[in-house]
Amino acid sequence: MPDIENTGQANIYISRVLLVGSGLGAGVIALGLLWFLLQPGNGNTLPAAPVTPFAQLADQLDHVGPLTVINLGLLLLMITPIVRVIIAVVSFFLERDRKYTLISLVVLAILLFSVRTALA
Amino acid sequence: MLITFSGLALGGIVAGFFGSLLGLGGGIFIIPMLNLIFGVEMRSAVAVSLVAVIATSSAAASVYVQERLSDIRLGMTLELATTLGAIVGGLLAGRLPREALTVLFGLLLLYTAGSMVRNIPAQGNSGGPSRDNSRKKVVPEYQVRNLSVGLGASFFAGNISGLLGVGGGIIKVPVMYLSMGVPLKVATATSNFMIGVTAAASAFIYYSRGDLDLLVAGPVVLGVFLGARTGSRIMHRVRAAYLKWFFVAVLLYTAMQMLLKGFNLHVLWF
Repeated sequence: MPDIENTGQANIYISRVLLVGSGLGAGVIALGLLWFLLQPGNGNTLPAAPVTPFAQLADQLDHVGPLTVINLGLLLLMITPIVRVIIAVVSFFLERDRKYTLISLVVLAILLFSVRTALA
Repeated sequence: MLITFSGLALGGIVAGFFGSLLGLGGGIFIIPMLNLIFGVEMRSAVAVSLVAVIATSSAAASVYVQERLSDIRLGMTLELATTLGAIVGGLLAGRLPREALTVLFGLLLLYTAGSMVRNIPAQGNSGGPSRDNSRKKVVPEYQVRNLSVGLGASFFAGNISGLLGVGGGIIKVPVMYLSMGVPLKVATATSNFMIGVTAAASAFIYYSRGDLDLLVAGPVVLGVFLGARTGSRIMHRVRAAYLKWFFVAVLLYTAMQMLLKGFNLHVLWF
């Protein structure tokens, strides 16, 4: 295995992305929940609230409600690992490490394939 | 409404706290809790758990990555297999009847309890905190062996993750440590780094099926996030060995409940 120290700079970026991404996602979810609870007319039972498909999410952005905010917060969390892989691709590329640039590109492709199922 | 919300958030905090304290991750407690106590359908519970797993993995891995303990190259290589396994697992979950998922989860709980009894490392501290938790940044020299075994095990770990919503560290860490010659601390950190990516691979499949419920996921994910952060912070200061037998009992009891439910037998008091 190559020296771990070489990827020091990438480590710092990845670590920041992870921290900011997860913190931001959690914060947005908290805001959405708070907004939802402050709305009048909530019954005693929890209504079913499935996530909005990507295609309709864009339409919802015109009239954002608490559920949309929670949805966006969850998506923010879900996207964080993908951003992490993108940073790995870039940093391996900058290090001219072809093998690992390729490996992380394949991982990225697999992830994007999975995201695509959500777009369909 | 507020009571259900508080219950879900509190459950998330407890699951995240003890999950990270024992090095098992939140999923192993969150899914039975949602399914048995809150009556959330198995696939929805798995979907919520996957997002919680991503959140905690990101928060935990940021620490490990910064301490340069995780081997990003090894992690990325094994992720080739975990992500594929996770997609297969996620798609499979859509086809299996919920009883089958419940039974499989019961078996996973039994396996986890067994690993705890035999002190097999899940996240490096399953049997109690390691003696060597000085924050040394020196990683011993090592040569990765048996990469094909590692890739096979990673595919399987990804499968379990995508199917049952847990991180899969309980499979990856022992394989990296015992078969691949990776030091335990590096294996733990690398596994943590990988878990979020693996979970993301199947989370979008659950999302596309509409299995993720906003009002369940919101409070639970927040709770797990907070609980896990607290748990991992005090992890080194708690003698988890004292907790071990209590949680082995909890896991066995939960496993029994899941198996009974999966086989449609009378469910005992929970």
